[in-house]
This record gives sequence, structure tokens and C-alpha cells, in this order.
Amino acid sequence: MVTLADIEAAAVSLSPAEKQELMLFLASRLRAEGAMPPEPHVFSADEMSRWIEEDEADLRRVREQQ
Amino acid sequence: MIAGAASAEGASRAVFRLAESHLWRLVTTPYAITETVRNLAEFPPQATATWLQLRSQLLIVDDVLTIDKPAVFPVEKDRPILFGALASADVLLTLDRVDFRRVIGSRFYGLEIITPGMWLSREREAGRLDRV
Repeated sequence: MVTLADIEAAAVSLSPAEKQELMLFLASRLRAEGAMPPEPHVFSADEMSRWIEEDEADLRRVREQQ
Repeated sequence: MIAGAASAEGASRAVFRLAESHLWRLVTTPYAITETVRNLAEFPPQATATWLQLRSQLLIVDDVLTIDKPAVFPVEKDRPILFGALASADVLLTLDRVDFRRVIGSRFYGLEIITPGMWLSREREAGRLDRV
């Protein structure tokens, strides 16, 4: 089994160019793994009712502008 | 999209109704669609039936989960909404005044973030909207 300590020890022996390549590899892996979409929002019924009331009030205001 | 499906009397539905005749292109992402469908379960079935009709008006673009700019936005779940709009739209329309409270009515890297009512009002004031 390879441990993090083994990997760190091996990384120390790499050339500067190889270290940079390793860093870019790790950055790309982290970015890919972090790019999963979060679970969508589940809004409360109250929150959505409030939006709809505001949305309807907004339309009435726009109509009154006419 | 939730409000547009749930109420025929709101600014959101009006945006859908007026889009084609005013050459507004309505854009969304798979993430936003999933969010809409999940939350429409709280409403009577008619809202979902209406949503299926409204959905056909939408141009669906890919989700965008990261951007190459600094973004301090506290609500992780809204980043795909914000980033998707930044990639594909000129204006983000939202009623979520809680999560977007720090940016609503302002801009995020040039992307305007306003409510559907603010959009209609602005178009009206600009003389581009005769009847709502």
C-alpha cells in the first residue's frame, strides 16, 4: 500500500519540472472532483408562495405603468 | 421558472408569454430544470403540466460549475445558476431575494441580476413593451 507519506517522500525526489507537472495534475483532479453539481435547492412552500405573491404584485405594478 | 409555472398572473409567466414577440431568448440549464421539477412537486399537478409547456420555450445550455474568476458567493447551491447565466445570458431573472440578496439589482461580472418584474418594468420604461 502507498501512503501519503510515501507519495510525499517520492515527490521530494522529483525534478522541479516534474514537481510542477505533479502539481498541475493534482490541481486538475481536484477541479474535476469538485465540479459535481450540488443537490438542487428544495425551497419551502412558504418561500415559494412569497415569491409568487411578489411576482404577481410586480406584474400588477407594471400594468399600472401603462 | 417555478413561479412562471405556478401562477398565470405573475411577471414570470408574462416573460414567457412575451418572449417570442419581443425577441427575448430564454435560456436555462439542466441544474435549474432539475430544481424547478423538484420544487413543483409542492404545487398542484396543473403547475407541472404548465411547466412542460413553458419548457419548450427554453434554450437549454450546459451547466457551468466553475468559472475562472474570483467569486465570493455564499450559497453553494446557487452557484450553478449564477455561473450558467454568466456563461450564456445577458440578464439573470430570479425571484430568490434571499440567496441573491447581495447581488439582486446589481451586476456580477457584467451579468445583470434582477427580478422578472424589474425586467418588464425596465422594458416598459424603455418603450420596448406596449402591453403586458
